[in-house]
Amino acid sequence: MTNKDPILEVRNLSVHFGSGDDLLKAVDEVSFHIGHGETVAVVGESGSGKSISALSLTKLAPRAATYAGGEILFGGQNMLSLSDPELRKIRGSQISYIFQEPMVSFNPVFTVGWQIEEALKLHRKGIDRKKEVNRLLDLVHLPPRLAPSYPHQMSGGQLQRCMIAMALACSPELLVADEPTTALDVTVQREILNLLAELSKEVGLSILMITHNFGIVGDLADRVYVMQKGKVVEEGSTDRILYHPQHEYTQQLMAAVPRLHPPSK
Amino acid sequence: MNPLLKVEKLNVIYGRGHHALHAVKNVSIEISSSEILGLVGESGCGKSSIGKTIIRLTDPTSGKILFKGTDVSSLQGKALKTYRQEVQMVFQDPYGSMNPRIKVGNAIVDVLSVHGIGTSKSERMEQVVDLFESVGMQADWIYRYPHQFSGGQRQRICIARALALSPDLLVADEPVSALDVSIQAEILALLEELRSSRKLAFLFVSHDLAVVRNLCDRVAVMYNGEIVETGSVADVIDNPQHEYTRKLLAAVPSF
Amino acid sequence: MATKKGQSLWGDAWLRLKKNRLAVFCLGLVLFFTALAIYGEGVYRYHDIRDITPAYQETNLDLAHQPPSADHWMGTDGLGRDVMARLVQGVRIAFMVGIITSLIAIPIGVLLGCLAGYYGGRVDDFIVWLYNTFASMPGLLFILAIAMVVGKGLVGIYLGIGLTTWVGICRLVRGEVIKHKDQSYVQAARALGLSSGRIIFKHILPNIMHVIIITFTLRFPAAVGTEVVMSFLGIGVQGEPSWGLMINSARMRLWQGMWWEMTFVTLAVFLLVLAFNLLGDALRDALDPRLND
Repeated sequence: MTNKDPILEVRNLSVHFGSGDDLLKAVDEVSFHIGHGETVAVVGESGSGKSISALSLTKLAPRAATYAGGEILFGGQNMLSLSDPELRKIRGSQISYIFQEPMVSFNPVFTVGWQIEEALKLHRKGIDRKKEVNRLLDLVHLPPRLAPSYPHQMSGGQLQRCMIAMALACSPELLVADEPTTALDVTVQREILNLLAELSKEVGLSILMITHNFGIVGDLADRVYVMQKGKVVEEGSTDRILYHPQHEYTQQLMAAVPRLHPPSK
Repeated sequence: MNPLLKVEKLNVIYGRGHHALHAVKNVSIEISSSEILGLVGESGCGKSSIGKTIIRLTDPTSGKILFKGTDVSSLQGKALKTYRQEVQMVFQDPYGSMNPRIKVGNAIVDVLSVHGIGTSKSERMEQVVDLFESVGMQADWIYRYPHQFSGGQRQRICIARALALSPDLLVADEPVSALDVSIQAEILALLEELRSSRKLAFLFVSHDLAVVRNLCDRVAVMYNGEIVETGSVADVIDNPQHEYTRKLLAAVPSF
Repeated sequence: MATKKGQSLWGDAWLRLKKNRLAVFCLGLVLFFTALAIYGEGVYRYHDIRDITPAYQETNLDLAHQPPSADHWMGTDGLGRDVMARLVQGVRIAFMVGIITSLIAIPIGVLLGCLAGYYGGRVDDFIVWLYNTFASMPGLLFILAIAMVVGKGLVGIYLGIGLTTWVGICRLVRGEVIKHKDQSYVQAARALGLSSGRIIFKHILPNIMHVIIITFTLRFPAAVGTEVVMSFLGIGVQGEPSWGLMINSARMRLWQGMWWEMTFVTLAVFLLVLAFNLLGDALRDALDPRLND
């Protein structure tokens, strides 16, 4: 399933906010890599820098951030040295994102079909867009008749599927999913997780999953990076991290996770 | 044994006519003193409406709410105020439920003076310090403003505020779902401790079955305004009877 | 879940607007006024080219101060001119003032507001400084100054009103853009690889369109009002009958019992303002797909 040759490699990435006394090292010398078709999870609590790391991959971090060092190697180039127009060509076409709250990640005044088309318009010229929208909706198991619906007419789960359809519009190599199911009910979350697992298997998509939920990690990820205060404190295969955590912080986290079926009490 | 709270055939309907929403349908639950009842379900299932109706933020459409044997479902004015000393609520978003411009200690002193507890400001301040210490906060933090605390600390303050009137029942609506997992564990431990030290009963409203499993004695599973299954947490989670409960359990990502 | 046929934003808005009877009535009224304005323009041009005095300008003192009759439905004024014909010419002036000043003020306000709101930082500082400077000057004085430079007449009115009223729109648009640029859908659009220009004008602007439309419908009658004041001060419309001039002259004779000129002109102003305001309200609702489902 996994290929040794990474499609994305982050080396000693540092992202800072502010300067002088107010300097915040949101991401501090972080390194990680993602292989072809691999699903990698980055877990941590709020403020650990996991989301900023994910956004930094295509330099989408908030304006106040400075990229203080390191490199992000993707497709033979260092993303940090690319210009904005060059980055725009990669965003959405080679590296796509899905975000935490599908309800607000869509523009409320356009239909979802229009918004999926927009992604196609931007990166793929000369195709039958209506047909392609239908194919994409089908890929995420939504009926094509939903295309002319507005975001507020759809449920959270349907919207997250549309979000995934939009992200897949240009057959990206890497999908970055930033807490994609946190805002959803548990049964809907299950459907979305199954969909992601299916896509990773069938389309060979590489997925970078940002989450705070160890259950999701166990379900989906091949490898895990644990982040705390801007640093990666532990990395390893999912089984190793979940069942034999080495670092003290990982052990604390694992102990705090409420279990549905406690081992023994 | 006489239950502390007994809800009988409760119905809550919002709006009327064409737009009426039947949020709670014929719900009956019981909570004994120092018992923790979990109320689980997905968004829109009516679990929060039940909590709000019990503390009388929402009026029931029909049904009875018996607290210590008296029906509180239609209390008004002074009687309602007295009832609210005995039943308090903690919300999901602690920051949203605090006034950002009032020092946290003063906010609790206000609660005490509104309900005529204590005779002087200094006496009330002492009580606030005691409350702060009982929820694991430092005494001198009472002079700080809400924004100077972390999410977990704010939830502790909200719990302290709810405890100020020495209630017998605390309705906690998703009190830990906005918190990180390690902070969540600390707050859950605090609730557990309060239950034994103060003989406090809880209605713990949550969407998280794993949290309910670790904290509650009994659980009621809600779907579409109705309670589909009740029982001890171990029974319901290890041996679910209703189809919806099974579906819910199967969906929880775990390892 | 509703899955009705959706098309473009404006197509859907039109479908929703059609369901609102009052809005359709107001739209009809606005279109009626528009037709009158175009007719008025035609009459003006026709007489201008042939260099003849149009009927609404012809004075006939024998017919002065006649109440409404079969010949003159709205009566005649102090110089014996037909009030109805002059009223129609007044619509023409009102529309020219309302539309041309909007064509000047709205693009300036929207463009600067979008840039200030989206880019923030120095761009924002400069634009905020600019509109504060404009706002700190008393409006009417500024309009007077412009009128002095370009000369009396309509051009002075257009520039004066147009160049002073963009401030309010700019401030509103800036605030709305600031509110929207932090929303997730903007971040999602950036993650999709959209350029800043496309995000501002194709994604954020449609979301704040209702603000612009409401502003337009409110400033249209306000501009007409300013024209009335300027014409009254003698630096406005010269020669042609504007509503401002008509109200001004009718005012003098109202106490003599000559009610018709004042009544019909104010009624026209009232109807135009009301129609625009109600239509603006209905349009705002129609443009929000979350309402009226």
